[in-house]
Amino acid sequence: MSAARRPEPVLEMTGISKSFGGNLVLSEVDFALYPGEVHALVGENGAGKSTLMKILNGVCPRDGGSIRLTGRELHIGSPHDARRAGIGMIFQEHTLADHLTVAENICLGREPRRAPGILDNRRARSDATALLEAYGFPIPAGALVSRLTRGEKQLVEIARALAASTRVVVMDEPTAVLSLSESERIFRIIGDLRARGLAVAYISHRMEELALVADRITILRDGRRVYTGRYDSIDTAGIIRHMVGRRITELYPGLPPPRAEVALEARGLDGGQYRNVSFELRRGEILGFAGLVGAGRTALARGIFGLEPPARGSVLIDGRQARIPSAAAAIARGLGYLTEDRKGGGIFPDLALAHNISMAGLDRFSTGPFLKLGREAGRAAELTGRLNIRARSAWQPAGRLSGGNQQKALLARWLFAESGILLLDEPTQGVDLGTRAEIYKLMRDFVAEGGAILMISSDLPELLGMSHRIAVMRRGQMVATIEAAAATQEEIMRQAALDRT
Amino acid sequence: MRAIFNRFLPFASLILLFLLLSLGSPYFLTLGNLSSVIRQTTVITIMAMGMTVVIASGGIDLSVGSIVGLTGVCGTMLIAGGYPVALAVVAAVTAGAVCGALNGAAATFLRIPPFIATLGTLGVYRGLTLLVTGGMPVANLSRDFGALATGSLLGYIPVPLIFLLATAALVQFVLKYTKLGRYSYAIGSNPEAARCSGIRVAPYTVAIYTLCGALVGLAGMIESARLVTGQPTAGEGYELRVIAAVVIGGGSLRGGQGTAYGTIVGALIMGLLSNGCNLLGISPFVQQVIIGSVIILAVTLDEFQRRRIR
Repeated sequence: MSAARRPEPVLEMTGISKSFGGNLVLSEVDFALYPGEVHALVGENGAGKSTLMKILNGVCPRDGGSIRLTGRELHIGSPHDARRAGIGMIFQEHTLADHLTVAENICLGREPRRAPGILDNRRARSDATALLEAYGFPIPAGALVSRLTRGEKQLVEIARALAASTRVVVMDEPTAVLSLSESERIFRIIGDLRARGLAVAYISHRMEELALVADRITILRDGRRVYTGRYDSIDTAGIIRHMVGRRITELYPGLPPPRAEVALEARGLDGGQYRNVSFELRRGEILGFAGLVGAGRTALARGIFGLEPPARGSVLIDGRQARIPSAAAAIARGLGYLTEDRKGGGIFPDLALAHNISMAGLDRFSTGPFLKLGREAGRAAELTGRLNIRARSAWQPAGRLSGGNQQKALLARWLFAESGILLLDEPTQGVDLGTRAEIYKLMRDFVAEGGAILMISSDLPELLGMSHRIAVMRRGQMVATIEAAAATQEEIMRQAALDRT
Repeated sequence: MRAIFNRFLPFASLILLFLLLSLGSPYFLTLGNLSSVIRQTTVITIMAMGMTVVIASGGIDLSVGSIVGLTGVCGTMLIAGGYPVALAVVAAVTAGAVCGALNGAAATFLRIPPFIATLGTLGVYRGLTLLVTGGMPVANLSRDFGALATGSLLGYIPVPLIFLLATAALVQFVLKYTKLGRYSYAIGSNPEAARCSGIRVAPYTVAIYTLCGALVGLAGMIESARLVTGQPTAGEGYELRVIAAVVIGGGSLRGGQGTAYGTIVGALIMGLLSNGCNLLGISPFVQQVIIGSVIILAVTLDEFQRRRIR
């Protein structure tokens, strides 16, 4: 389809600029959406994608530029305005009200009424049920959102956004927490939306996904638009080059062979969400854990780390039986756990970056109850430098750092605590490519020095590229352990999803 | 830049208030007036020191006013029974620590939100005080006990000021240089992350409330010394002024923030406001409106800053 014969764009953002406190985040960015297209928006973290979409959704005001909807100037001062204009948005972070039901969340802000001020709960319930069924989401409309898994919450989020969208849908990493089959359902829905003539703006870090859905692509770097074109006019290497402004020759650094000694051994671990799990993790080894969301991988890692200790089974560290009833005990035995939930269980938002880094290792930096502040600050600064954590100073509150830098700070926390065995849960989730490469290199160095890593990941290329062996979990059980060098994405998926396909 | 501005806002407000009052009333800048401001605010400030640590850890202690009454009565009963003042002070501090430990235990082991747990002990501690005394004040106390509140060192320095400065130095030291302090901020900022970082949240929480209770016990003795009686109703309603002092001084009820020097500034702002209103002849009714508005203003500014971090 040539540009001349194209219909008018449904949405046209031109010359959008925005700065936060003197920091230019967007500079004269143009972005247009045509009816019936999926337009990928990519860029590293901090490139301005989310800000651009927040401006479109009225969450934050723009400094300059214009937004036109079907040719008419559009005033968007709040998310409500955006909804009325038929623009729906699926956010990265959850925006559901936990204590309300699925139906109440879906109808939030446009509840059906019996009379002014009186809600029609029955209709809300039946509307929501119809909507969920239409999209094939197996979620009861009456369930409390707080009872749902992360993947299910994301599906509710999507259903809610679609209910309000008549012209434009913005999806900000909609599949980040979804299993493969759930993701595939989303891709089918995107296909439907396209066929109905809606325009979809799609933000994602996963190249494989973009190849499946995108018609066109716009690449942002440092708040500027550096490329717009048909998706098939550019290859992955080209996209990455535009995103980072330099070449990343090898994303995965290559791992040295593991040593003989076993660092961590699990024997017959039983917990709420996993059964009879046994494995050995050697020094110098990265053992990947594959599986669908809800397969029990996170529960297993939290169990080993003593957060919710397993009901049965034993854990051996360096060949010796280890009783680990709490995180404190786990840390004392040299374990470290990088949570998948950075905001919930990782970062202390009001505390200084340096104090975030040192939090799990203060026992070594204190005499009795008294802290050795000088030595602590020195070691934290050293790690900040080594991990290339970008912050204004070591005293900047960690809540103000970007997601990638927060993730590096959490890794630094376990290096500070001198953990020898790391349990990493989705270590590169929501992290841009440049930072990902840095994290991989760090993991390589860590195992090269004799550390051991258990890595849970839903990113198959990452599992293949950064593990020695891959253990596959399905419904709480370990169903296979595969040498990464001999494995394929298809085989892992088949093992992970056997009874669902 | 803005962070620095926010951080020093309480200090700047205090200095501004000081200057305005110096210009507004000729009596303000007299030794007598300033030392009476100190004497009036000491009890609240010492209590607020303990509350600073509790609030930094994301907790709250509504029972501090009742602990003032209970510990004051305990201490004065010993003095009335002929024991030395120093021993009575130690006993009051210990009684306060026990009260605090019970608060902390209720909040952690019974898993009750601290607001509710200490709302309960507010009633329990006050009721116990009234039971023990039969509602009658403990009187006939020795004169040297009164010196705890009314005495001066070297002729000028009020004795309570010494206690205040020592307490503030202790709390600031704990917050900055000890694991207890660091973990208080951590638990207040993100309790789940604190647990995942291997912090033993329950015993540290009990320790935090115990420290608060002990300092309140000291304040209870100074309050009784000021009245030279053990009033079973002493300290009623103080909890709100104490919380206000912490919040005006930069503490946040959502935890993770607060410093001892900030709290001193917060308490002094409240003290100067009421002193200034008295000097300028503003009615006590209007005073309440002013102080209430200042609290709302302080929390609003705090929320504004928070939203940028989270």
